[in-house]
Amino acid sequence: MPGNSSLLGRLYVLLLYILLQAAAITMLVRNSYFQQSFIMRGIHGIQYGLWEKSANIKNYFQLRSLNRTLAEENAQLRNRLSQLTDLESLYRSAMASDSLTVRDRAAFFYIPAEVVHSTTQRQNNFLIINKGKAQGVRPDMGVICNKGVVGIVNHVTQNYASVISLLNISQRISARLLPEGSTGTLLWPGKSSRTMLLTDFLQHQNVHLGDTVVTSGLSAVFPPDIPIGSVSGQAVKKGIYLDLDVSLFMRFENLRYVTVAGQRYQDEIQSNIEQEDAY
Amino acid sequence: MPTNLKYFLRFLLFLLLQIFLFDRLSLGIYLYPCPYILFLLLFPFSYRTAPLLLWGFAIGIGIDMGGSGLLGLHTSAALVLALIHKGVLHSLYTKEAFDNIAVPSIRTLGWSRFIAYVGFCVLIHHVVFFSLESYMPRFWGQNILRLLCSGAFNIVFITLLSFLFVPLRRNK
Repeated sequence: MPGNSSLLGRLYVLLLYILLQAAAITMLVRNSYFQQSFIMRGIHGIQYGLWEKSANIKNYFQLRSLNRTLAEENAQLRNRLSQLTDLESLYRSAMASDSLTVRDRAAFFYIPAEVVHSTTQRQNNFLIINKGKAQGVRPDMGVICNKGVVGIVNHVTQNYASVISLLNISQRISARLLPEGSTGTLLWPGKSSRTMLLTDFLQHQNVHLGDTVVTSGLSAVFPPDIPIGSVSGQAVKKGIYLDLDVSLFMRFENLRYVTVAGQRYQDEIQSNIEQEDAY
Repeated sequence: MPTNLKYFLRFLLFLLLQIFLFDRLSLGIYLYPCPYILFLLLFPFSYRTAPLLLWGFAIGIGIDMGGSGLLGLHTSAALVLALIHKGVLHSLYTKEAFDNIAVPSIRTLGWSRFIAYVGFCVLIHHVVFFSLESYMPRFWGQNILRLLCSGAFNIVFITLLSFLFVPLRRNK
């Protein structure tokens, strides 16, 4: 072997390899830390802007179908609004003496955003949305759309945010099965972008095909009762738990408009959790 | 053209192709085209391993940073590939016939040995890549299927692509 036939040469190559490989593995293990590093912020600044431009061109050709989806969502929201207005007036009259209004008590606030870039074919899928730190998006906020849950914000730049998609094998969210309302953990088995797996679900409940799975609201990341999908396959027994196939209502491939759900009292909840952990 | 400039242009070509074309194709989870493997396979027999490791690190981290996925995934797989590159070539080729300027290709290695070379390197790369991407035991079954599908596809694709860089017959 010319060049590195000596023992010293081989040792040098091996050391170099170990050094570089250690750097690679460190980046892999502490991924979210390195995504927020100085260098990556610079790269993201350029990259996300480019992606937004190319998404704008692509979306121009889908305006008609996007319009229809938006109109449908609008109608749904109007219905919901009218229901809630009734409730609010009832509530107000009941609480006439209280100085707090319903608005102040709402635990979640919402920031609309557009998807700039997304992947669905990897095992670790991410989305980039066009709202960031400047618009009030922070890490660990939930991202939803009119048909279900999209993911959780991973890191933010000034005007963009990277979201860990629901289609990511390291993502776990807490979910509830209607009508009985018992909870389980929803995860992605890495195969199709349309099916998830509901695990850690206690065996003694009645489960029927087509039962709806919704967010549980236990994690303070997502508002409760957002429909996610429906049970689409026979339950598989795993010890005292059941595994259920869940078919998503949402199609990740042509997702465009999403909503970031911020928990108004996130800091307060977090500090309580940390205090609990301290004991 | 100075060889280092040639390698650098080739580096840019494979990096941009991977980021802007092959990473953005939606071919399902079972097919993942990785033509950038060819960048490392095209280095001449005599190329030293230390600079090859640096090239491997550079193209790996470039692809990782250009995508939106996990940092370090392609870097790690490309490093392993750069490390074994020379050993694989030596096991396929006798030392007497070792030509210092020869580049691995169908012409210099012959069909069967070149495909064995590409095949072995692609499989090693894929084993590292897929096991780092999802190392949980839950996914073993489907990861082996993904490895075999992507592997077979990439071996054929990279073999065909290599004709663009090293012509089958000597010119003139």
